Amino acid sequence: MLHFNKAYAEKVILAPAAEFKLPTNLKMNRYGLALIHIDVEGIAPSMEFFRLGTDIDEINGVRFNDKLHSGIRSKSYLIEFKGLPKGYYLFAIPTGTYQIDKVSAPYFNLPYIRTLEDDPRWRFRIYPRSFNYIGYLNIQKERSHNKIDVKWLNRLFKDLGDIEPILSQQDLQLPLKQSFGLYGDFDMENLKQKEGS
Amino acid sequence: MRTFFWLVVLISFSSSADITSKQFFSKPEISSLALSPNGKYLATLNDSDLQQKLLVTDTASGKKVELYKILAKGKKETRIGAFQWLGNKYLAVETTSSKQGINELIDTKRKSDYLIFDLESDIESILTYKIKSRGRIVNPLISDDEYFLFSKPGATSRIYKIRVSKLNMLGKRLAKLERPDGGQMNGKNQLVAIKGVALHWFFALNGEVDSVLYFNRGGKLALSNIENRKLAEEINVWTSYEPLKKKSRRERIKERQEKLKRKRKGRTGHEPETTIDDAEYLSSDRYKYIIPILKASGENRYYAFDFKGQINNEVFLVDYNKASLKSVYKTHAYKILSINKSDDGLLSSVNLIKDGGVQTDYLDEKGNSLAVTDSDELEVSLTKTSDGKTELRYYESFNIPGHYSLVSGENIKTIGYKYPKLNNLKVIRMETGNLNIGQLSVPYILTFPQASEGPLPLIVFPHGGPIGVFDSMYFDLGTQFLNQRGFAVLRVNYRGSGGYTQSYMEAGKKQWGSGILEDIHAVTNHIKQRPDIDEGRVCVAGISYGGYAAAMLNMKYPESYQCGVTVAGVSDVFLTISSTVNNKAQFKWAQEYIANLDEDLQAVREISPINLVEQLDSPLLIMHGEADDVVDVEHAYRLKYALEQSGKTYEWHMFKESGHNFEHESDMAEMFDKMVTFINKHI
Repeated sequence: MLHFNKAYAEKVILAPAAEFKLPTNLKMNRYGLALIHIDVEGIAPSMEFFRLGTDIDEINGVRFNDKLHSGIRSKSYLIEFKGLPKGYYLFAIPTGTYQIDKVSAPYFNLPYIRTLEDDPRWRFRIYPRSFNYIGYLNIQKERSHNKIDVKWLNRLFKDLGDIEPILSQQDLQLPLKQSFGLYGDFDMENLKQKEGS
Repeated sequence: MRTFFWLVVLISFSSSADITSKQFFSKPEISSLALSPNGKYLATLNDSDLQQKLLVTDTASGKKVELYKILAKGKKETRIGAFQWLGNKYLAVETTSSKQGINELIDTKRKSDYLIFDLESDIESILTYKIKSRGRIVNPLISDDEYFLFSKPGATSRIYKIRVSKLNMLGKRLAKLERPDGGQMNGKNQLVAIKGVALHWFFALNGEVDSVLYFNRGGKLALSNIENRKLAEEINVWTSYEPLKKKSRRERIKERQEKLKRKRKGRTGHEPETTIDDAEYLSSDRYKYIIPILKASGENRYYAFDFKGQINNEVFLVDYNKASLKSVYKTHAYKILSINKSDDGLLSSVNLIKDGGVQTDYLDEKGNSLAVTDSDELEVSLTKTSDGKTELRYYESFNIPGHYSLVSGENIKTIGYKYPKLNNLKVIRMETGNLNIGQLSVPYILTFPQASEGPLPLIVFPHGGPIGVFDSMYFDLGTQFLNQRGFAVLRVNYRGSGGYTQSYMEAGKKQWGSGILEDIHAVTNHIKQRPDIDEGRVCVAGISYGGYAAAMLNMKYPESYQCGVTVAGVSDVFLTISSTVNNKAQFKWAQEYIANLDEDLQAVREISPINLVEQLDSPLLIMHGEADDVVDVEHAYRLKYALEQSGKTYEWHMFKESGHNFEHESDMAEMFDKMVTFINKHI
């Protein structure tokens, strides 16, 4: 597994979902909008991820128990959460399947990285021309010497009551997709109705 | 005489009066206790949501003294932990409390202390000492009223013999010439000093330090004799237990290269997975996972557990002098919890889980097992006075909440109740049985209100887990509550339950939505045929997996159940297996025991309530704690969404502060009240 330097990762800027403006030159056949719910505290928490596959077939073809080919990885991304209040955020990102690699919560010289490596549960998918719900991230401010408390959960249906009014404010007529993890039958079936909207 | 005593207790419990749910689910009045060596005092801890209270009772007069009280003040409170007698006069209490520590670093904000109370001092203002040094009491020296042994941790671990009356008083500032702990942590009082971090000290029958299990300076786990106050020869060294240390860059690279090499070999089939059978394991690497836990009589002889297996069902006697390993006790029961030895150092009893309950298997002088009685009564000897004449015993049965008694010959005296508010419970009736389902014999427990007339409504109340958990025949708060409210209650120890045999537990593998539910349903159908059960009034209620079963049974067999109550229940099995809350080992376990996400995806879909809501034909109550970190609250929201989409009837209640176990007494009471109200409304 390659370990990359933050300097080589593309920084992703999050915008509060209610204030998000779609970049005018964005090619929506190749991009989707990722929707993340964050509740993150600490000095300079961040999350790093990279793309596993690029096209839709690959998105649907990745299996839970398949090992990743070591040494092969495309462009890496970095989200810095410093100073972001709790809430829903949007960012535009190319379509594909992504692996969250590390979650960091620096605290002086103590270990501060939770390395996920190729854990298949820490993935998300981005579909084109869609709002992609990628999950709820919680990093607690309080920690112990050896451990940071990080939660990454699929809370789509708990969050749905908040998400729907926020997205309806947007002029974009895009469907909402469940994009947390690799797949989830229930989510896909039940969101079809919304996808069609 | 003893039978007569329990009969009297039973009758005293049988006067009827409805007890409120808050009284029912209040925390036990006695959460732990310790009898002084001469039997004069009994120390008990009352641990409730509101406070912790340490009481000492004079066993002769029954007079109680409140020794120490702490009011609950959220996370930063002081908590009472373990307590023990240091002879007949002093009671040592371990407390943990908050300190300022380093901002945001939780583990720098707690400290633990020992307080020592002098019970022979003025009862109105009891003398209290405090140990200022870091460490723990390793031997109370119960035959000596003044002294105890205290171990100080560090790169060099030491044991000191400390005199209580020379310690500093609690709350009193040290004078200029006064020294912490009376200056006793010095060479003069030092009994032993070893180079290494001690994990467990073993003592000989005469109370002298015999040996120590510790991490040596080379970072290896070792067992060594103690002679002349120092480490003598190493009895054994375990190479498999090494503390974690920071690896150098070169070590990390080498490790990664080796991992890659192993992967490639694995792919081409050059390095197949190997398993070591027991015989090979014993002969080739016999001490690798066998760790001593109790000193046996004789030189370098220890009773030990094998920590290789996940389930411990064997006790070994290891003689390091003869390099021999002998199995001295093995059970086909589920699991050994702990072992005890007699005064002469022989293995005397084994506490184990068997037939759905905790049982003590007593051994004769030769170490042979005496018969274990299958009983719905739990009677355990907790401790004896030093003269062996008086015994502290605990008793409970399905009908009688736990209580503690002092037994001297034929004389039995009750000295404390676990749930004193439940002394007036109506007596319930219990029947147990087994139903043969395929190759399995599935046990069940059926309880009734005693004074019932006509056929009763039935609540099927499956336990959580489901793997390795079980319902016992002893006192159960939830079952009792439902019985007291007029329902018959059926509990099924379906396949996969613990407490029976390993193979019975393994039979629950990948049976979440199939075999386990079929067991519960088949036993329910069997019970419904009884004349004292109203087959048209049956509801399933449960917590965690039990909640999942409640929803599933109502969906799979809509004609059989009139309603369901799912509390903290799983509604989407896919979400449970793929949860990021579990570590990698738990994720692997979930795929092995529930379903493989890639290979069994269709099956996962078919065993998830959210995908079967169309089949639901009866009302469902969903309850969940918003702070549940075992079954995330998302499960409740998913089920709610699916029910709404299908236009099904349901009721819904969220508990803002509750976790998976409904830790607050008031939430637990409210949850059961809502359950009963809902069931009464629908059956």
